[in-house]
Amino acid sequence: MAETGTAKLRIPRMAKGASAQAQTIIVHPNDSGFAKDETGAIPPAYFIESLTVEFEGEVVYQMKLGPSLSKDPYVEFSLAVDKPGRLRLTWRDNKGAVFTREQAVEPV
Amino acid sequence: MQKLNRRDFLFLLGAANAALAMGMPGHAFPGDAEEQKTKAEAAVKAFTGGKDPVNGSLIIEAPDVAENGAQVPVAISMKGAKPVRVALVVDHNPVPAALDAAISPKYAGDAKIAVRIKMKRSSLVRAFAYDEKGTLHGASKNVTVTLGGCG
Repeated sequence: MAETGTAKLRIPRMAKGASAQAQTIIVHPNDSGFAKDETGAIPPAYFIESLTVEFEGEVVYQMKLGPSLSKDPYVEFSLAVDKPGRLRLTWRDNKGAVFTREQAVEPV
Repeated sequence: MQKLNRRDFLFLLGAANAALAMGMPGHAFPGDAEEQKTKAEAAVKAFTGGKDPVNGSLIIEAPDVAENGAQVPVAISMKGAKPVRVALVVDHNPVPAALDAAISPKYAGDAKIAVRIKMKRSSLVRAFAYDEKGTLHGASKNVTVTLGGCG
């Protein structure tokens, strides 16, 4: 399995100014602190608690996420840009670890 | 020892299955219902401030029946207005507040957000949103879970 905090980001081909859905998954156990694992033990809460999406340094989405999100949290969001730029995702878990992922967006 | 009749056996089997599906003690029994309701209402109130939402513009998409409670897709979008803040509450999960997103419309396009959630058991899933004028919108959906994902 991929390392915790590794993120996948898929940005579809976008037309300038048109809305499209970007998809991201971060590898993370996202334990809620309520559920038993295979051994019957209940691991303590360990989950992604926020995700920030920025385009060219401007915040587009600022999300607070609860432990209800699935293991390897999946988040999909709309994006519409009229110029090329950098999309930056920043995830933070409840233990304070921060993971980032950047990708160029080039609308056509 | 008294012999189990068929009905008792089936009942016990059902109970054992339910316990297994939950994978956790003490939940889903009447004693907890009130506490769970209080938790869900607190999560809603934290977002709505106790106001009643307007229905019709906000759209929540989720399956009627989720076979696997570990990965239930839920999408929130809006018709005719742009949301600037969106929330998702799963009434019967241990932590009902699943998502609270602030949205800056400039690059957000349709501002549709989709996530996959864990669901401990069948539950009402509720979405709320404020539009640019500050109007509170709501939408909800009952999702039946066949195999709990231990929220």
